[in-house]
Amino acid sequence: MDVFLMSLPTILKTMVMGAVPILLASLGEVFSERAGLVNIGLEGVMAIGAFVGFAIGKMTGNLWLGLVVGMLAGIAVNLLYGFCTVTLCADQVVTGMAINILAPAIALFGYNLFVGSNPANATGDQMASLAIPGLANIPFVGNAFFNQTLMGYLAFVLVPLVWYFFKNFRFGLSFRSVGENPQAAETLGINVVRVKYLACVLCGALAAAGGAFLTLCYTPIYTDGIVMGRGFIALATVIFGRWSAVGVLGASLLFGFFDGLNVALQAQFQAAPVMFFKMIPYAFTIVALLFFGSKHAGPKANGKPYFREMR
Amino acid sequence: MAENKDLTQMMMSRRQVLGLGAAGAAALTLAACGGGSSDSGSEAGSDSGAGDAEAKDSYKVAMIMSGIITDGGWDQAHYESLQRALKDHGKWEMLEPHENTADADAATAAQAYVDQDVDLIIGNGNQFASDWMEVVADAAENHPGVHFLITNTDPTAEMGDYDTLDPVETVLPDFKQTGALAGVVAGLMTQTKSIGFIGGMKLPSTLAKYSAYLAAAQKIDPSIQGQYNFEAGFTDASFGTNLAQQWINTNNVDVMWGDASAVDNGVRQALEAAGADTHFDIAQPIDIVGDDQPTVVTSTVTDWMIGQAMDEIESGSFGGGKAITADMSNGGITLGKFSDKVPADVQDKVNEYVEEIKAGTFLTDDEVSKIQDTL
Repeated sequence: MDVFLMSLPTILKTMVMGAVPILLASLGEVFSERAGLVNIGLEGVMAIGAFVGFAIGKMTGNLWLGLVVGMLAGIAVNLLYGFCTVTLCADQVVTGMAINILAPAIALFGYNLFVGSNPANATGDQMASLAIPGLANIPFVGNAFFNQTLMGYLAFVLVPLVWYFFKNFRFGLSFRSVGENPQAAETLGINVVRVKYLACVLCGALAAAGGAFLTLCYTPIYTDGIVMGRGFIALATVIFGRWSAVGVLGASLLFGFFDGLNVALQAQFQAAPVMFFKMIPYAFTIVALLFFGSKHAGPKANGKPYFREMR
Repeated sequence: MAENKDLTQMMMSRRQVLGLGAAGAAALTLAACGGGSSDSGSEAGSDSGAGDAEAKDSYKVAMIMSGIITDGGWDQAHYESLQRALKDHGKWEMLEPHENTADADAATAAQAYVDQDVDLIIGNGNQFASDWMEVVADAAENHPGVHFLITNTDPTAEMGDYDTLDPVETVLPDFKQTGALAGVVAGLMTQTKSIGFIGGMKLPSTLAKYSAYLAAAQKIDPSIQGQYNFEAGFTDASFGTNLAQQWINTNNVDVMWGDASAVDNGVRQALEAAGADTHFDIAQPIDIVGDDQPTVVTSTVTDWMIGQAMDEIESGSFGGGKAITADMSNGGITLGKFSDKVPADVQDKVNEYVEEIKAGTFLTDDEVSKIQDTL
């Protein structure tokens, strides 16, 4: 018990840090799926965001510029997904998988050019943490929740904004109607294709921001495979979070907690088979999907191509 | 109406195929470019053959790597070893390294070089020993001028199923020496008497390194405790950060030694956050001490003895499944520069121990085995 209590502040810190990239990508996926687009290419878009954010941040010394350009790169990649799925009406799952192959390859190609020409580029810069006076000293939770990078704080601030957008904005309602019944939405004067493309833009920007967080706030390096399946976890958190921003926040924190627990157990029980501990976050994901992955939940037109002429 | 629907579905299929085909082709092209090229179009040199001492005017060497040459760790160490060997061997020319080679592609990549009759093909890790059995057999029969050097591999234990080892040699670093070098530095630098180690994969070499590391540190001070993780992988830097944070906060670890490439970068982040003047890292296998690495106090450096392999090929003595040992006597294992965080008296003591480690008098095999048996 003592060991657990001693480990708890670090577990919570890992939970919050680990939740941010998943939360950002999940919020992006909420926009996408609310507009009827299941984007399983999050992993690839995050990889692009991670590399471009890292490279631009290193080149210019301005990490916020790195974030912005990383998000633009994510938008560009996701518009490719949008073109295939919205304009060409290609299968969304297959297109997402193609993005997962294409985008990390582009990132690796860029990394080899960037670091190959100058090995000093291998290590970038990192955003500093901002401790909120008073709150950061609260035992156990203070350092975890109130001593983060500004980007981390912004990710959490996005949650109520996204929730409010879908709940109270007319345009948020348009997103939801496009995801539920695009034909009906079209008859109400909503430009379904435009909404879907806008969803791609928002999803690309947020997923890429999640990737950029990994290289701008978590570790100052880019490696091939740095996203480590977080894009797929984000997909699961959207389902677990019932396609709502608040639900996604809870699911991201829960996954982050299990990830932190996994690390703490690995640190304290060295002789035990660590693969067992490594399974914990993923086993949790599977269990969550078993309970919350009902086919009847979620936007009704999710994953289906939209043909304007079809009745 | 039904016909129209069928027609629409057919059009969708065609669009899908076109769209996805283009994306897939682009991905494969970029992946190939990003991973380096094995088809550099170099002309093969003339056959030399294992055991053929006839001198040639020029030789070609190619390296097949699991990662990229700028990874700051394992792959970069191999690339730098090759660069050093080339400086001393004017007749040798390097083909572009084949980076990011997956296990499934390892044999194909090697076969491409075999078909070009490249004189020396280097595989940078023991995974290539299990991938290249058929390629080696083919080369021994049809391309007698091709030689293979596989690093970090024990030919007796890991290549017993090969039909022939005539064109093969391996490189085995002296893990006891490497671990002991890191251990004495850790033992002298730790203030909390708690040191840590992260390995990417639970290999015999990883266990041997950690055992010698802890044994050497405990030789300095028997109260020193060791924390370890042998399954950290090689890419997830954030895991390194989180694990090191956990050890720092709960076990007071203040010195780390890593064997996990990118994960080690994450460890250094956690050490820096905990205080770069009180928390230290020992890097490996390249020397990275410098201002941009505030926690790194020194490095254990491995040279993969590629120059010796080149000499043997030139003289015709290469092959037969021999293992070249990289150790302190031949420059295969060295301790890198010290940072200014290592006090002069500590540097002097380390240098004394270095001589004892080199002479084999510092640690006994029993002392190392005693720890290894508990892992």
